[in-house]
Amino acid sequence: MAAAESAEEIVVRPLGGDKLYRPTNLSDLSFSTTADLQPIDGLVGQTRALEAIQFGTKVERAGFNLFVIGPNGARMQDAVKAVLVDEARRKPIPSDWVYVNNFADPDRPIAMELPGGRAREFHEAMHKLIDDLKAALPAVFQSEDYQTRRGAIDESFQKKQGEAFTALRDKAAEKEVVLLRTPLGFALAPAKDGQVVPPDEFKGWPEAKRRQMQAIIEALEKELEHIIHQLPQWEKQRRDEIRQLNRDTAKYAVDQLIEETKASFNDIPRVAQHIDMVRSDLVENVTMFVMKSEDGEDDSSALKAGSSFDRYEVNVLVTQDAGRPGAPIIEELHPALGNLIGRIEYISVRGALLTNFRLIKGGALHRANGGYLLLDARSVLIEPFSWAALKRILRRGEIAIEDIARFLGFTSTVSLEPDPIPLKVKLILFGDRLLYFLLAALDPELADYFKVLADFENDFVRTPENEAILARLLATLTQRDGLNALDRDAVVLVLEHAARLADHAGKLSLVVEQLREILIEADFCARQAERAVISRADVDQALKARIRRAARVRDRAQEAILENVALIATEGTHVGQINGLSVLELGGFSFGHPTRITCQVRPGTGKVVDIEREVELGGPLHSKGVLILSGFLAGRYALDTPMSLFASLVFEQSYGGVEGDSASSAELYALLSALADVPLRQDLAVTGSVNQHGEIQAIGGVNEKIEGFFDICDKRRLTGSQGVLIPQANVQHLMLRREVIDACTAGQFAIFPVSTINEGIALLTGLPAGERAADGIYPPNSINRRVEDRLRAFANIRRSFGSERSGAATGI
Amino acid sequence: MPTELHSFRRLVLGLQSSAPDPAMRLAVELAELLDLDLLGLFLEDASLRDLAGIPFAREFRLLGGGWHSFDLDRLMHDLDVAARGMERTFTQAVGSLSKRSQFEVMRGPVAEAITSISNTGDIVMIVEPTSAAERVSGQFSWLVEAAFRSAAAVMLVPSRIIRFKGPIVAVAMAGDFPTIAAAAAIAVAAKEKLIVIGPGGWDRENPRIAQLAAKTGLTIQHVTAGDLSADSTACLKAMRQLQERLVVMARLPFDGATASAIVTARQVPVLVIEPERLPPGEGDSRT
Repeated sequence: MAAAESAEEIVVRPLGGDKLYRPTNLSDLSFSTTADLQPIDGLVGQTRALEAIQFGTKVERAGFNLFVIGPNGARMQDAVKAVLVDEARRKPIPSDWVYVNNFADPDRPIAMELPGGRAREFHEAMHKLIDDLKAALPAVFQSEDYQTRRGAIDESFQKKQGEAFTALRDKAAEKEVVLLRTPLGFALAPAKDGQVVPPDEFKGWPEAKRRQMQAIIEALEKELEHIIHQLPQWEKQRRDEIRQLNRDTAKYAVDQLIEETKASFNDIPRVAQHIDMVRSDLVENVTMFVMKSEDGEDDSSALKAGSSFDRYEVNVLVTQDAGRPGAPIIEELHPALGNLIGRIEYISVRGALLTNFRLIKGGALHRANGGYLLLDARSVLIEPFSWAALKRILRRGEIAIEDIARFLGFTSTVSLEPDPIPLKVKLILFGDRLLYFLLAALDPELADYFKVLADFENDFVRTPENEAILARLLATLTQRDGLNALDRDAVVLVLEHAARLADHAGKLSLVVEQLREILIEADFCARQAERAVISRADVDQALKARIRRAARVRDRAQEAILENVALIATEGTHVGQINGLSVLELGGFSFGHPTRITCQVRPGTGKVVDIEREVELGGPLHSKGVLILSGFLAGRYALDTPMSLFASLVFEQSYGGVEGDSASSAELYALLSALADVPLRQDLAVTGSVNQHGEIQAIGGVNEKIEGFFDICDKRRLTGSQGVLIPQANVQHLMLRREVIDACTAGQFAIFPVSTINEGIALLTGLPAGERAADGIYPPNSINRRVEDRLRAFANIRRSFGSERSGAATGI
Repeated sequence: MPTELHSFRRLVLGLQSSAPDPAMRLAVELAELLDLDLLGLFLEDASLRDLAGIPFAREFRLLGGGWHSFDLDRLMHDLDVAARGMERTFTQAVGSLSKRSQFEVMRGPVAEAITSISNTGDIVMIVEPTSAAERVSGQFSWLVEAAFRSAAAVMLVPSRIIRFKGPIVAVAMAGDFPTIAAAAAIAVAAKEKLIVIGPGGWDRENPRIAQLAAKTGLTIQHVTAGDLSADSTACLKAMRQLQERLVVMARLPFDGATASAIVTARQVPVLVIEPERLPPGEGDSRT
């Protein structure tokens, strides 16, 4: 016998109105509207999470990043940010970071650290330097002085060449030979009166004269060849001299400007060193900026992005506002790889994709470096490469900008490998619990990089003090969102709704976003009615409107029942048939829905068949519930007899999946009714799971389930006998709608708290369940007796059937 | 206004083996400024054909080096390729001036070609070759000589022009108003200042300069120079602090050598005009 069954039959009485709803107690809080209440900042009712956040943000060790989990709509980000603000204010301003050109290796730009707020100054200074150079360099290179010196070099070169060629020309002229330019080079020709001797005339010359001329020309050709061979050497000398002149001139032009620029940054040796490198580069490459190349080609024809001076610009990757002390708190809503770790952009120049250090863009990690970076875990995980890159960066301890397109072979152009930047950021990931637990199970590295868990509570205990705190939170929300204040009654209703949201009369929901939505909608109702204060009626209207907007499916389901398309009886009795209750959640809206459960029995092999499971519509929890029924039967009835039952259970007119075990008690009642051949009341609906001892266990969604059956009964007509059997353990969760409470108070509807199967079956059949007497036999006409008798009868049938078959087989 | 100050009608750009891009641009700019027709004249000198007929003639090739015998067909082909290349460059350079521009290839002795094609309304533009060898070549000497012998004005252009902006300088002896007028025409069109280098006090004696300034709105600055007729020394000394883009001077008393010396020293183009050239209405022009 089950230990839980008492020796005497217990009569279950319906719950009184005071058990169906717990009103708010704000007696200790004096206010007429929320405008009178002091707003509350920071975390409410989240002591555990707060402790974790404070620890996680203060501990300065690698891997001690935070993973904040909690229900959706808990506004964890806002809450954490509020905590971080104070912490961040106490931290020093992080460094600024810039990228500058690497003159030795332009493909590897140099990252430079500056004191917070100085990067912009450096950028402006270099920009000004470039502007000044743009004016100063051409001026000095066009100056008379430079031109004179340059002219002197050119002239010297030209003179050297000219003298050589003039001497050759004069010598040739003396010997009546002229130098000619041919399309491909030079030639020497016999001349007469300064003109080339025509061939016919030349042929008319005596042989000796022709030979003499040939010898003269051959000698001159050797001289011409000698001079031409000297030209590259002379040209090199000229270029060297001009290069040196350009260096000297550039140095003269830039020195003062460079020193002026450097003076402001002498306290940052790295910057001063860079400016010196700029000077060297300018002096070495000055021709790039002030003149066309020596061969007359315009430099602009080269493939490059921007002006030649751009190489001296400063790319400010991240800079701090010097006027705002403290560390940055950055929230990246779109953590795509580029937005997270930065990216290298390209520009198209004549069809080629080009880049340089100025096209390096910082990411959220750069902006948050030295402070806090807040990321939504789901967003990070759904972005390709972001999660892996984030872990890589945490492992390396530095931010390296990766060009994923290059790794994947999407681009085949020259890219950059910028210097990595040391990472000093506190990462805070936000996500729901399921995501965290899945990630923890599937990614062992999670524990290495996110060692601190902050778990936000869904609700907190409903005490008058906590109700007062939540009332102040409502005041905060109205103030923050610019909503009208709520009057006292409106606050009461919102708090009671918070308890309903928590699915517990003794708790209050901490899912702030849900409360905020109600406030916004109530505010809308108040403004529509031209009221300056949100009243209870506005809140009530908002709550009803929310349900109305979402309840199309519920209404269609109820309509189907009322039109007898879905068969649900709310009067009379029936053997092996009961009203079960289920909850449907669609798009955040939940509603209860009665379902007819039926059972058929006959002799068999001791099997209870769950038809839902057979057709694969039943989930594992539902199947478990049905299997428990077999255990219950086996443990309670005809212990000396083999179980010779075949029973089938089904959710009638259920065409979708069924999950959960909250209907297992209803299934057991239907089974017992079928076995006992005793009809069950159809004006009652049942919810609750059952264990093998026949104890009724708590289920979820009790309020929605009760209201779902009530709505059907109410629409058909309340008879006064209708009601719902709920687990005793669920009484504490009741926060029912006003109509249900009123009907119960008026005796038109009833909620029965049930602890055992015996209590339930007695209510449903009007017959006692029956307790075994000292002789081990249930009382006559009790349900249990009838069940046991039926099971024995099945066993006998099976036994006799087995004997007949055995006899037939042996020829008896 | 510029056309009232000069009587030029055409700019003849003498092209031989090469023509640097800046010189080409200068020709186009000048033609636009002075509202001139532009003729690109490729001179295919007959002397090369004569040379190819001499049995032992050969050429030293700059690319690849070494001496190679002449092949007349190959020579003609190379000259043809050079002419077509030059035409392409010229056509690209003239751009918006294409309706008033023309490209011609002239065969025969250079001197005869220049003489036959140029007249008093022309400016023959000669670009100094970059290479000293080319500068002493027979073709370049014949071209310069022929140009200076012709009735046309001659513009000598350095192989590297160092300035494309700046005042126009007129080097004028006393009474040489046509040089000043021609320089003024260019200065007005180019919206530049005019600087006159001449003997001291000459401008004050010449009321036409004042009238010219009043008529054109030009800023005319006078720089006194010493004995201008001697050689280029005084001229260059006077130009020392100037940032000129172009020099205009008369053929007399100056000669081609003076102009060439100024081109070499200043690295800016020098326009040498006939001394008696006067703007319309100012006197006889040799038309």
